[in-house]
Amino acid sequence: MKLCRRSASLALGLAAALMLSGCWSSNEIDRLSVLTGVALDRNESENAASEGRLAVTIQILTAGASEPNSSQGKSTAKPYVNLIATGNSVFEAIREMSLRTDKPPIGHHLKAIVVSADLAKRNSLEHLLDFFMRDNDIRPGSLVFVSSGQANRVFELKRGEEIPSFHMAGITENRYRTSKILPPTTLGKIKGDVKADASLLLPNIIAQDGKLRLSGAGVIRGKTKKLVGLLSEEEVLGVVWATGSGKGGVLSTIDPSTRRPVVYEVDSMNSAIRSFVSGDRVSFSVSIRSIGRIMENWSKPDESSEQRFLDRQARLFERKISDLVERTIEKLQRDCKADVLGFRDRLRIEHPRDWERFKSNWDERFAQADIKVDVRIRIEDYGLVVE
Amino acid sequence: MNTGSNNQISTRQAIVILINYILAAGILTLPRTSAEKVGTTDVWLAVLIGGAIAIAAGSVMARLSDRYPGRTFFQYSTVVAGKWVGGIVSLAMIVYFIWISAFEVRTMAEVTSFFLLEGTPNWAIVIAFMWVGIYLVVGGIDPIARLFEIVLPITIIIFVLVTLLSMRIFEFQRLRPVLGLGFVPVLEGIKTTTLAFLGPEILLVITAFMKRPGAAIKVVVGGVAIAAAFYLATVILVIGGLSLDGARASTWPTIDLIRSFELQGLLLERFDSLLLTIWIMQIFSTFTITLYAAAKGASDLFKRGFKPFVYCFLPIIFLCAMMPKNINETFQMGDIIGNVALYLFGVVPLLFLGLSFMRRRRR
Repeated sequence: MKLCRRSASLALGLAAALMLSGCWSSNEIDRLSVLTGVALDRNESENAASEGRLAVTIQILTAGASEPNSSQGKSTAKPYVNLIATGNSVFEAIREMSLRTDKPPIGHHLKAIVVSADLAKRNSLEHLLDFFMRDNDIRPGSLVFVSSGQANRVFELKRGEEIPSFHMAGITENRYRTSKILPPTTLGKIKGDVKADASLLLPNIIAQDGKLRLSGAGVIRGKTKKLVGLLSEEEVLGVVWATGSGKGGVLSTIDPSTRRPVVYEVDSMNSAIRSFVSGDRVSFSVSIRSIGRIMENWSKPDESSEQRFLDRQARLFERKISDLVERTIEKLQRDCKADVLGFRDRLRIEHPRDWERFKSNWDERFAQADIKVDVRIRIEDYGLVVE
Repeated sequence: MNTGSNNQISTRQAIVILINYILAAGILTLPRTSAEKVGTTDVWLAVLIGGAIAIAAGSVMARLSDRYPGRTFFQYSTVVAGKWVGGIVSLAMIVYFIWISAFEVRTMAEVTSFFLLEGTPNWAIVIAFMWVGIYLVVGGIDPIARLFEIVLPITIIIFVLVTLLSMRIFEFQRLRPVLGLGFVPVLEGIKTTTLAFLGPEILLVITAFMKRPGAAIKVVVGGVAIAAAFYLATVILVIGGLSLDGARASTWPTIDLIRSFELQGLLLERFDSLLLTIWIMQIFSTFTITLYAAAKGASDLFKRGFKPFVYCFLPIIFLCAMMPKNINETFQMGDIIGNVALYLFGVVPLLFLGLSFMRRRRR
């Protein structure tokens, strides 16, 4: 009995030695490289046919990136490395990197994906982003941008200590300071839009003198999922006002009587879109409401009554906003033929049965739609200076 | 068989068992499966109706079991329908419990190896999971009930925390319009949502152990209602957060929802591992209770001991779980189980209840 128990415990002890090899799929964190950004470009070299049509740039953090290098003073080493590989598919190209770095890249912390406009014009966004939507490490919260220049240039900043892909994600959080930034376009959101064949906007990020700048947006048409046009910063401002998605920001206009600028700071903006259907015709009314204050005024009033002055300024800004919005809508209808303003959602909600009829070629129908814009703003105060 | 007070469960424990049984694989996939079928934003309505149907079907089973206090379905089925019919139906139910048990194990392995343990072979995950399960099941209904009582509050707390955090990306617009295309789309989703409520069939077994078998209907109503609240919250938050098409495009929409946002400044930035943790606990409870039901059924039907069946069902469940070759076949297996359940627990108990009334009257 005793012997039996002893041999049993011996056998168990020996069996435990099986565990000595440890967790066989473990990867120590310092043996991994953290992937923070991916840029997709067209491979423009001569042997693109054999190398693959995509040029994929990945940005990975180098070890010690987060340590402040105080001992060395200013170190020349950047906290990140960019690697470029080519291939016919994104995944293939990324895996290709494993031939060149001893640390395999992991996607858990991917912050930004940048697609060059040139590539997006020729390829469907659905295909370009397919890998990122399928992968199990990459999170649906990653941001997607388009770049009107070469996409991998935005991963090279002059100031070495900043990580471009983090910087990009940071800029999109400034929505309460300026209304030229669109709501973040995450992979998860794009997944839904792509499935719904909805047109969408991707913020355009460019490198300017070695610095990043968010500048306008790219329009992706729902049916083809290809880039059909770029919106300027002003037009993005128009989009933000039309959808009421801004969280703050400023708007300046020239007072025609004095030809001097007046600046309005947005406290809140709101837009209500209503849809109307008669037969095959669709029309919309967009009512934009905003409350804010005069925050800079170069144009002193001649009038004695300040209320009249404020009213006049309010009309000026209303005019400016409706101009912006109307020009944007015109561009979207005529040049891009893509509804990125959410009119489709209003129609789906307000006229679900008609929507069923229209949805298959909605962008074409949108291009023909009548859209009326009506803007009301209220200036609530004028800062700490009384006129 | 039911000796000692240790083998008795209170009404509350029975409700907890039912909730833990219902909540399983469905939490992660229901938003997709129901959105696919309904196709409009009225998915939540289909969930409500599914719950109501489950309550109706469950009540029939509760009423049936209530007529034979202290006996499980496998003991009284031969009395109600005769040796042959009763035996065959009982056998079918045992096979069903084994299959659903295998299905839960497989889904667990699928998700765990995709999101958590990449590289660990499926069989390793499954075997560890099943061995822990068997340790619980051989103890009988009482330890199961007590473990479930620990698991449920944890589930509720984490679930509420995680899903409410997703309000960051919630947009009410995505849930509108209500009944935009009329009621027909909702009807098309009802079957899917009803099947998410598989679980009340456990009453055919556990009513026998209830201190107050008369409260079985209360158990059905309470259990299904609480599970329905979970499902409703899941479906509404997922569709409001990802949009209807977003939910349709993701394999595991609920995980996608939780992965779609990060919180800065809190202790944790990412919450998907928390969701997966409670979800694995829920799968574990469904696995153990179905294994228990299958073994209990076999032991009652063949009038043999309980434990040998637990041990001999284990390899069968393992083999069944390993049978689907890919994720599509796994989902198909779930569909087949659902269809079988529809007849086995929707129609059969009603017939048995009718038979049982007729028998009583003839006497």
